[in-house]
Amino acid sequence: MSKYVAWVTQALFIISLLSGLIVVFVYYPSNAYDSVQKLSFITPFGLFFRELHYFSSEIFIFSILVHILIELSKKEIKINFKSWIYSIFALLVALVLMFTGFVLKADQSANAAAEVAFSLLKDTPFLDKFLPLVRDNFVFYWKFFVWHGLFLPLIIEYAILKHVRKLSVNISYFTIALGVTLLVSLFLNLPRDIGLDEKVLHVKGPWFFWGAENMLQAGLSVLGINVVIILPFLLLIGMYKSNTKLLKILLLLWVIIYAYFSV
Amino acid sequence: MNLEKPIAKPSSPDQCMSCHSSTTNMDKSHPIEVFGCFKCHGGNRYATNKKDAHRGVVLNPSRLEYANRFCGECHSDVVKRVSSSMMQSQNGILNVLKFQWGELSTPIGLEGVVELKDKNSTSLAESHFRKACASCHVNQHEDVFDDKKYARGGGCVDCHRIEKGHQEKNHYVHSKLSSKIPSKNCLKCHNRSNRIGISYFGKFESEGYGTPYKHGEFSHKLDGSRFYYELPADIHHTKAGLDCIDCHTEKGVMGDGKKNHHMEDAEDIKCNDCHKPKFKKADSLAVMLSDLNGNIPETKSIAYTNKKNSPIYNLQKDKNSTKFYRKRDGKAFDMSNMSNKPYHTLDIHKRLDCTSCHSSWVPSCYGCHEVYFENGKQFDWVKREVTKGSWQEFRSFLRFESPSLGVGYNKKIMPFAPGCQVIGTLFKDKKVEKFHAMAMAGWDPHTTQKEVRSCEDCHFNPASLGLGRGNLDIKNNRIFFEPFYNSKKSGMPFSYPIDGFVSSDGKQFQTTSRKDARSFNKKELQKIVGAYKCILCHDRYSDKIYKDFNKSKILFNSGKTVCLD
Repeated sequence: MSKYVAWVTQALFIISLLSGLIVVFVYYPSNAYDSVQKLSFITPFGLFFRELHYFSSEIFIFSILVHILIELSKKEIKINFKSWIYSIFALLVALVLMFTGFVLKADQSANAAAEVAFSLLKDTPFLDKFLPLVRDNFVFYWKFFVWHGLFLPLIIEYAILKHVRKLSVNISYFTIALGVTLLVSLFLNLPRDIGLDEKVLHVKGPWFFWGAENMLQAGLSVLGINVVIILPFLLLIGMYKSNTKLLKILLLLWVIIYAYFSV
Repeated sequence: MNLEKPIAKPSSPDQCMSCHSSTTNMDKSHPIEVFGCFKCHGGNRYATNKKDAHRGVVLNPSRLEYANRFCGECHSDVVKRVSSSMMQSQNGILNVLKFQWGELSTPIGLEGVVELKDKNSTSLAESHFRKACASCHVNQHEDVFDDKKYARGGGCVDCHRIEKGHQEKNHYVHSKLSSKIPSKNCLKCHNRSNRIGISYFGKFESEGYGTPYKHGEFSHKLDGSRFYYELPADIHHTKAGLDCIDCHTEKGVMGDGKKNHHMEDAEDIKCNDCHKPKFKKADSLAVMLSDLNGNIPETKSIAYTNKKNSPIYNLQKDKNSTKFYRKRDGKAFDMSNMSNKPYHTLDIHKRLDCTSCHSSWVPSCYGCHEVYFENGKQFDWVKREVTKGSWQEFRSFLRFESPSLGVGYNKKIMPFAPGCQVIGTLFKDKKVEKFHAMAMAGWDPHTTQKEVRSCEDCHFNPASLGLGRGNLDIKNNRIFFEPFYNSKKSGMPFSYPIDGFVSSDGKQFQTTSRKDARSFNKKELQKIVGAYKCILCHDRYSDKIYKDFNKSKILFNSGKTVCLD
């Protein structure tokens, strides 16, 4: 089962990559919001490819999670430790890719999410040194664009390759992945872009960020947030060595608490 | 071969026009073909469905909370100035009111509409301000006025809109904006209190009746239930049909970026600026303003205000003449400088403000009875909701003739009128309280005439002297005055006549609206009245004693000339 999910996951990644390669042609970091709106409303098939890019990426994340869960449900993890680490790393990079993609839509929620991320980085020891790698004082979205469009895809490709050893496209799984993505985009809408001139009382970041946002609002320190974010990855790494009930319960507990704060 | 191909009309850059294609242009400076809709109204310019396109749309971007984002993209300096101007804050009115009602020790303060918004105060003056005065400020919400005829506010459009947007049969007529602001826009607010706006057009608000009838209707009716008498209008209106903006500069009206305390601090123009002008080379602002106006020719030499160095771009000088151009239509009028005749150059009158002689009348509203009901409910114009406490206003009587004189905010002698005389009754839970706050204020009433008040009208008219209406006599160089108005018999809580600013021995009865403003003191009263015996004979400036008045005075004091009386 896990194998099939892995094939679909790979196919989803390729769909996301290809659709991203198309939308990048009309994306201008110096005029980001406008170019996203132009893509959505003016460019022929712009909205189609934007939706394809968005939903394939979202499903990609879910399928990684499902893939990991299936592996965890087994008595023992059969892949080697290095490969396991690369898969966890790929999940982390995928989430960062999702986050940078969210920022690149450049609406009010994107700007707010970027500002929150900047503040978190700024107040986190050691990580604060990396702030100049994402913050650009001239073109706000430029570094997010470079990360999202170039470095992070390269990194995740590298991690996936290290995990699976070869990246192959099986036409059947590709068709399944494309079909699922199209089906989802047929029934679901993109989260709406909050115009820069709109007056809104509350803006939210990407869904996987909601828990952290609400924990910050509830008064948790920046260091605490960092622990919360990094904890599930540490647990997943730990599970390779000892896939104990305790670690599973801890992970489940984390999921419940984070989900609670997310809603 | 015809090379002159017609230039195609550029289409709007916004998708909005796919639905709003029939909308007319706002004005020649903001053509939709160039600006589109999004630039001024926000929303989503690329969306082709109503829901997405209208998300974040601002119907009136000129409201000051939006203006910086929209209008401010090109007019940022103006938006900043208007936002800090008195037209927006009304701090002048609020702080003078608090001072006169004994809540502040000085009439100077910067607290205004914006500061009151989130304040819960128990101040009586603030309550009155909220329930009455605060309806007039440039950023008032137009939709809070039940009768749209009286709607004010809306930000920039409060002054600049000359036609409201409306749907016509086949197209939508966009609100029309103009820099040629018609006086009726100014009159939306400037028709009460010191009533400058209506006085300029020769309307004196009368008592509460409207006879004589005309065509089955009350004649001489102002808006609502107010009536007026026709009195001589200001000469600037009768002679040249000038509008408010012909004199008032953009800096004077929209503010200079400073937080001013009083109207005269914000005000820029003075009579001398046009009637004794200083010409300089037209600066870039002057060129821009005349270009924007379209009716005023661009020239090299224009007048500037003395106070803020603002260009009076419609007062221009060329080789042969000085012309004043009416902004509304560019009609030119020859301007002649203020004469150097004795009445303008005599030292004895150097303390006179132009208004003291040239203002023919002043609307004087005596005795304002303000009644407060603590348990009543009334609309709060700051919070824009009905809140506890209500006010009702009644007045005693109105006069226009022989305005009182006093020493004004500029330390010059100018007309004074009640501003304001409040006799208050406060109906609280189970008790009734009373208070009074009597004040006179000096201002330019905008009733200028070329002909001036007679010498007697200033030197021997008790009303002009500030004593009030009554009988005036001089015996042994002492002033005796018997007022007509008996405050005690009229049930007033004070003994001086209601129209009395000062007693015959120089004791000031009423406060004023400014720190430096006051009534005449004893010495000044005696000096003014003392000159009356000379005026009885020497009542024309053509009289030879005025040719060299100082010399005439020396001759008289040394006994070389004698009084023939």
